[in-house]
Amino acid sequence: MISIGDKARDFLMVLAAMLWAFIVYASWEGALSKNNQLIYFGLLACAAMVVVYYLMGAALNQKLSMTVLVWPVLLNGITQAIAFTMIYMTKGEKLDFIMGMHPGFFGAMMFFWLGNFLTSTLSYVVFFDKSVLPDETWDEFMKEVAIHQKLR
Amino acid sequence: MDEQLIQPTPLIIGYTVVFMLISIGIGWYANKYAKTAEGFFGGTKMFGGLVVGLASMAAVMSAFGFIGGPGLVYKFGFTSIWMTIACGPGFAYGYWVIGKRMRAMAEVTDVATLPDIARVRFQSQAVRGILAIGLCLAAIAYLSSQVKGGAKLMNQMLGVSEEWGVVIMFGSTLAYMLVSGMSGSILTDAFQGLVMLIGVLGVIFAFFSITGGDFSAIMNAPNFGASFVDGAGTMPFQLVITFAVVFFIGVMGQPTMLAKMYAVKSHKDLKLAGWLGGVAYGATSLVWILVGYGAVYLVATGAAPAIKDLDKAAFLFVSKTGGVLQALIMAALLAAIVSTASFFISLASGALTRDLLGSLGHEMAVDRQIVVGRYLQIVVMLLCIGFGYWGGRAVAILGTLGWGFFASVTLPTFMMGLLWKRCSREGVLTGLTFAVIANIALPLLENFKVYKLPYPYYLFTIAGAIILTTVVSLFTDGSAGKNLPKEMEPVFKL
Repeated sequence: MISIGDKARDFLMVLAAMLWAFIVYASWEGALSKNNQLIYFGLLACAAMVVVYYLMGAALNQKLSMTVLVWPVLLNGITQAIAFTMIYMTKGEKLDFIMGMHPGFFGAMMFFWLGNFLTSTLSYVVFFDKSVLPDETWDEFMKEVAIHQKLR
Repeated sequence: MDEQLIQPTPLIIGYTVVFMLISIGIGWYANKYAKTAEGFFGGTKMFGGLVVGLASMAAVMSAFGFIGGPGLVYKFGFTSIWMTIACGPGFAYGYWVIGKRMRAMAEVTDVATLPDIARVRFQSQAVRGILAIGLCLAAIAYLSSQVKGGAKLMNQMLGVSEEWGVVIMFGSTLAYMLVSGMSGSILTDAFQGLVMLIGVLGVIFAFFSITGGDFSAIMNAPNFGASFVDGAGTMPFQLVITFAVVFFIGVMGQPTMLAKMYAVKSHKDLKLAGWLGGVAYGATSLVWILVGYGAVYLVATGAAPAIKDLDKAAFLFVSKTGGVLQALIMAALLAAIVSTASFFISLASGALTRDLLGSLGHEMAVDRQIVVGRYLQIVVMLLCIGFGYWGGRAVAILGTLGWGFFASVTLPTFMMGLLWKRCSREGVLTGLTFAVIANIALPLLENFKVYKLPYPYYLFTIAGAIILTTVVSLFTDGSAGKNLPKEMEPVFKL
């Protein structure tokens, strides 16, 4: 288990803000200077940002299990990074097809689309009862809420 | 009237009429859920995961995805597909990140609308009011931009004039929205989601029948080429950044999805709603992809002449399919438009009736809210139709308000507000104010050719709103940190 407490969240939110700033910079400067490599780095920053918000959202009562950290959190970022790398490396090239698809098309569909489904969606189903929202966690939450009046 | 690519057969007309009658019937049935403000404006805690999952998909996938998307593929190759392949898996990502906390807020307070949650989290009528303005403006603008697409679709399906098409489509939608509000929208959206999925099967069959799945013909065609079949497409490369990030992370900022997170009856329903919505959306993405590439293939192989109006790409492809497939696919297109429209009508009327007036100190009694909400649905609908048809340049400017506008006002408010105790009232107010102003100013500057960013402006507005919210929150503490209402504490333990 790793702790994602209040201090860690302060850090992660600032990190996310910095990544947003870099993504805007990479889009802006990359477009003006026609620097596709900078845009590619911006894409990698997108993958990193996905991981940052995951770390905060997937934590249960401020704790994140190592299993969830690996799959889906880190693997989601990795599959996105692979997809971005493949489309960057093959952009506009006339290449042999993989399974009937251009390698860039293949990278986007297999690693971004299917890869994201296999990380975010499949893991959500597999881990829901244990790591997303176990019944006992919800019951505990309802007990605590019952102590207070409804917030207006 | 536009060129008739589809011949309205009795099968198409019959299927369309049955579809509309069933939608109206379900909408009227949903009246039993709409007796309270929570039911009428939110459908709060009322539906199972199956209904919410299908309804989420149907509301998120709009006319833009089914008609505009294939047109963009026809013109630019893969680039726009990044929007749709990011969005599908983004559903479960959104549920991972804030799903349980959004549902939890419906236990902490009485939730009928999204601004209700914002008001309680930040203890601020100003946050509620600004968010309501933003949501209302974006909903009306977005719906207005769908009016002409819907009119063209009805023209192709039924052979009626575009004006009559608008009356038939939006009139039947209003017929059940007036009775059951958001509850009706959610239930009918679930049915319409099923119709869309049936249409997807038709598209898959038609695509492989027509093309054999052969993309090499497109790559080798002189008028298309390798950039039409790679993973980046022919739009500027930086657009991939915007589409990938804004449509993956941004899907959890869409009211069509956020509002469903508290519509589930039990916390257990979040499981089915979370994965089903995304997987079903992923299936409907195939319409965007396959219909678009199907149209490219037809033109690349000389089986059809090139088209100029990009909205016709979808109809070009459908025109090459058989009678039954045409009926299934066209009904799916109609379902995509109607399901999104019903949600936004309810969203806008709720924001006006309950939140904007409430934030100004005029809280209405619940019974009165529902009555006024019904009247405002009519007003919103007429406003959208009038604006969509006669808005001219304003439509072109405001029609771009949609996904990006929603994400720029909701991500700071809900994602940051529910993940980060330190997210403060002052921070969110700053972020929201920036988002509303920038989302109006930047398209104005673009349209009047004063200044245009070299990437979609909404990336700037989303990033700016999040950065400002973060920075201001670090130095302020309104309804944050130790000043967070104690009733909110349990939410942060989930």
